[in-house]
Amino acid sequence: MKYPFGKDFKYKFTPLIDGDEVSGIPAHTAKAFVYDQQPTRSQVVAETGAIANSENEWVANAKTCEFDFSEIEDPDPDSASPLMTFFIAFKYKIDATGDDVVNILGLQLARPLGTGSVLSVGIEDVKKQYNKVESFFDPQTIIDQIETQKVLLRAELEGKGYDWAVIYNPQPLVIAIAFATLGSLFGEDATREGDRSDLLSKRFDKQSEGYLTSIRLEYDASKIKGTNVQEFRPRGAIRARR
Amino acid sequence: MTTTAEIIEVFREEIFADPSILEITDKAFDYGDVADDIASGSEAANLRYQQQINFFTFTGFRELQTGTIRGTNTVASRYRHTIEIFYYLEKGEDPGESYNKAIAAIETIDDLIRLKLGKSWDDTVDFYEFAGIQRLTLIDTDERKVRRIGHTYVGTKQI
Repeated sequence: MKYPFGKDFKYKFTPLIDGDEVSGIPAHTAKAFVYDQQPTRSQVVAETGAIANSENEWVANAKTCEFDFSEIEDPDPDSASPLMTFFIAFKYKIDATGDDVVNILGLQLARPLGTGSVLSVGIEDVKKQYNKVESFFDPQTIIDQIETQKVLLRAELEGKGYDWAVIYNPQPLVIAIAFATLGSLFGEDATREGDRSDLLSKRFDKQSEGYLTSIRLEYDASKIKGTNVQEFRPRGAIRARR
Repeated sequence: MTTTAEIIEVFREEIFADPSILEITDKAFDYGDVADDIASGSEAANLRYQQQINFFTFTGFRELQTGTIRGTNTVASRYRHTIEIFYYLEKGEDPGESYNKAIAAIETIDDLIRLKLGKSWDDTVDFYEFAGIQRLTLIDTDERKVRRIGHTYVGTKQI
């Protein structure tokens, strides 16, 4: 489950032993902490280093306990990545006379993208696929071509009935758009068929095509985001459901 | 005894690191075949400055000359250090602009040699002279039309 940056959230914690819920937990004050780096057990016990904390009274014999957290600020709001992994740790007792038990779990915090979200592709994404691209094309030319490729891909997906806004996580398209951008840039740079730019252009176009054929995207046709997520391939056969 | 490497180092530090040259391009190679047979994207990228083929090459070689001093039985030797400097600039969309820029670039080099290195090229030779020009030509480099212009200088060092 993912929790959003910038919004208060509840975390429902259920301790398990070998996959089974723990019974007979005594009434006590249990604590939870959020860390931006993986903490050590001793840090959790000492209750140090957390960026957020919460406590709640564990009801006797309850198998779960809920913790309320205030919003956690996004440390990198301009990031193109939709998720960041933080850590949540719990300090509680499963026996009245025993030591505190510490559990440390991953906590996925999400950057809300919203409907009609703009797929974020930048020069750095293109450079990851070909780090010499800026030797051949100035940054504005690269950015303009990225925008063109995004428009083209969006039009293609809409032609298949998938509005950009219903794609649950368009992030896998970043690489495909980066390759398509490179393919187009070098294609325009070629002076004749078979020269180096032409060969590079064909290679990148093929990689973009191959990537779009192999990845699966999730789309959500329902009005409530996340409740009806289904998969499709941006290229290749479309399976229609009645 | 001055070596070619010593003179090349002087040119590298005093001429090709000068801000007026770096404004033209930061690509300057001390070997001559950099533009021949571009085999990879890396080599192609290496020739480019601000997305255009734009670079200098500066190479040198040394010859030993021995001759008798007139009217004596004495033989004297000296080294002739030949330095060849070429400038390459992609012809681009404005042929007139690249043509004039190429000429201006090689003249900037010429001015800097005179002003910064002086007669003795920073004490590596006894004196130097301008030995020749390779006029502006159009060549093919990495599938592009590139202007090339060159100057040759000779420095003499008595030994």
